Amino acid sequence: MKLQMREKQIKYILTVLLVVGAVWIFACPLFRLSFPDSSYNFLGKDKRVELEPGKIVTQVFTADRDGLDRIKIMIGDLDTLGYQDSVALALTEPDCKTLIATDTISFLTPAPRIYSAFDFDRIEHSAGQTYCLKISYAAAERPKQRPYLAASEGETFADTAYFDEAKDRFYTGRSLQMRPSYSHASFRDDLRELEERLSQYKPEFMKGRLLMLGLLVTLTSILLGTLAIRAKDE
Amino acid sequence: MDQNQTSKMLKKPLFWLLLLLSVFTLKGVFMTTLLPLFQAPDEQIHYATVQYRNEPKEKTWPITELEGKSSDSSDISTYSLSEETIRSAQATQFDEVKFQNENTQGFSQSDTGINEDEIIRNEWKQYIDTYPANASGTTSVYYDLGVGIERWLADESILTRFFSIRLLSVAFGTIIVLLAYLTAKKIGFTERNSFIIAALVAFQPMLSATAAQVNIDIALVLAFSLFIYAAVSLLKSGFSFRGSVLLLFSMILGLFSKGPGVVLIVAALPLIAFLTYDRFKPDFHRLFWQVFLSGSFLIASIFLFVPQTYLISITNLGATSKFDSPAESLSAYLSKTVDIDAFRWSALSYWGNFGWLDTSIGDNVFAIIWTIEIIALIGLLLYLIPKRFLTEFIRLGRTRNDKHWTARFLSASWRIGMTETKEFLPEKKFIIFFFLLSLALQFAIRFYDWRVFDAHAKILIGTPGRYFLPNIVAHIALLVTGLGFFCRSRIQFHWLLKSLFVLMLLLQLYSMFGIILPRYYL
Repeated sequence: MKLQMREKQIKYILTVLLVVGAVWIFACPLFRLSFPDSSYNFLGKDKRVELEPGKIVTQVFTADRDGLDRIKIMIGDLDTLGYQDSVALALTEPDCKTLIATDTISFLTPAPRIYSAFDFDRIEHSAGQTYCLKISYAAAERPKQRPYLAASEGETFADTAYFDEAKDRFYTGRSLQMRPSYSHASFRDDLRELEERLSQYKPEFMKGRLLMLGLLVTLTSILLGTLAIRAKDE
Repeated sequence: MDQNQTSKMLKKPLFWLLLLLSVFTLKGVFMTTLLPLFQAPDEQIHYATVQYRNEPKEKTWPITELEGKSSDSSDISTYSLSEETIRSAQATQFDEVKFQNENTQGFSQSDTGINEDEIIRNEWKQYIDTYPANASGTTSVYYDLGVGIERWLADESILTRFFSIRLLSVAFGTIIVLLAYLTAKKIGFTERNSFIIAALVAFQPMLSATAAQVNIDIALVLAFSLFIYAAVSLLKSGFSFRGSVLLLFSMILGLFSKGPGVVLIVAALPLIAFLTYDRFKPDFHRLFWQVFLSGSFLIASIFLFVPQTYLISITNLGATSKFDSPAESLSAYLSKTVDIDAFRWSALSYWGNFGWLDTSIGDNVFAIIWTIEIIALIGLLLYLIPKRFLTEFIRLGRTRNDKHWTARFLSASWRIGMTETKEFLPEKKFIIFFFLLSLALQFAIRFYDWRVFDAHAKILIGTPGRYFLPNIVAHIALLVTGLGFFCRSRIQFHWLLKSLFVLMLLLQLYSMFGIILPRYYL
């Protein structure tokens, strides 16, 4: 009887873990869809912008589309952040003073996969508008190992420059490794764009069905897992 | 369908197997679409090899011989491939995306890629006209089947042809899952546990990825899986016609899949010696001579019948060493490859480092996998150590005043693991066979890696995890056996398997939707 109760509990826990986990994993990338500007590919010479405590790095850029709601930026060695340290990100008007949005990365922020995502409220009419991205670093003292910004020299996609306050210098012909990212006003349009991206350079018979296929894979995997959890060993 | 019928259906092994294979196939089709064109290791070379072998023997077009030509790995236009392969790769920004996880393809605002019309116009030459060609020299059954697809879909665009060849890998993968199920059943797991073990193989993310890209590794995984199934059949029931034919067929398949297939021939020798011993129980002296003679016969046959060029190519013996002595070369190789970072990299790319090995699962997730593997290894070793040695060792440890930590550790593990008999785990002979096969593959891959290192004084090939995938069925069986050592009953073991299955399933979904999709599309 006791064993049966325990088995029932384990069955319940595993089913919840599977269903919640699978739905979460599938829904996570869809939950806040944003499409980075794919013309920002970094092919030039790699550079590092060492962050100095209390100093700011800025880059002005022009949005390509409406709906700017994220900036993906490459920040290295974030694992060196101490518990009192932080990296502050800010989006401002082109004067680099009037704030639009801010975010902070601390030692508690989960490590980024490739880019760190700076999310903010969707800017409805951003196409053709110029913005300034400001990055600053705060630390109790100046550690030897500290975060840095990845940058690139000689990119064809933008006639850009960034300003490094620590060096008091404009670096023309260089860009921080960052990508402005956009979303649509409706979730439906976001899904449509994702489907379009997935369908590009795919055979005709695969186009337009890939998200549905992904959903089907998730649902059948959940079904398989749930049946396996419920089945008894003979 | 009433409840009775449903419950009857759920009891049928065929239902479970068909369900698993269907989900695997569906998942495989989805996986083939997730990685962009040529964005898997050497896919452009594998595809170009299929095209090259599809060419007529007598070339009807002018060939340009390029003397002293060398290719730049960061520029596909420097390779001697077909114009279609090179220009399709350039059109999809192959060089920009490969190895650079900060970059993606350029996307348009429709379901047709920016340069897609140019690709599907089918106007580029589908043959190689500059030599020496950069096609692979390996003889592989995968290429032969790929040629069939290439010919069958000759009028279609390269996108249709290429992605259809990826579907061929899914078909290979499906057979591997079936063999995993049959192997698990053969070594003594129950019907339901065998199904879960096959499911663990089916949802291992790196196998899923390998079974969804154009590559010859998947043919080798199939050959190994078939060999393992044939070997355990023979180990279980002794020599049989069916088992022997399957074993022979798997060895031939291995040889005609990829270089490391030769491991199967080496592994077959002790297996046959053991089976002979098991059947005839000869005295040791006779056995020694039997093994010696059959080994000599096999080696002589290899030297007589296998072309010398093949033997030289798989051992890289024709190359000139950059070192003064083999000892110096080996020592330099070991110092570069035997460290925790190198093992970690191999293990990571065994479990989940996708694309051109630039898209890996998170460190935390990998740490969980590593922990489970270490526990399984401890369990496996304890399971393999004869009971009397272990008891004696613990007794000796206890009698010492300081109670050595190893004795305390073993004692604790013993208490957890050995309170009941392990009738739900496979017999030790199967586990030892899996262990030895894993060691043989490890040795073969590292040996070849060293031979190439010896000729260039740098690591050119390396030991990416997918090279060890051929042993996946054996590996999963070892993993569950090691963990199963700590289970006290059949029921506990069954629940352990179910828990592992849930974790593996989540790992697979996370790899697809949390890692690969954002890397290439967001």
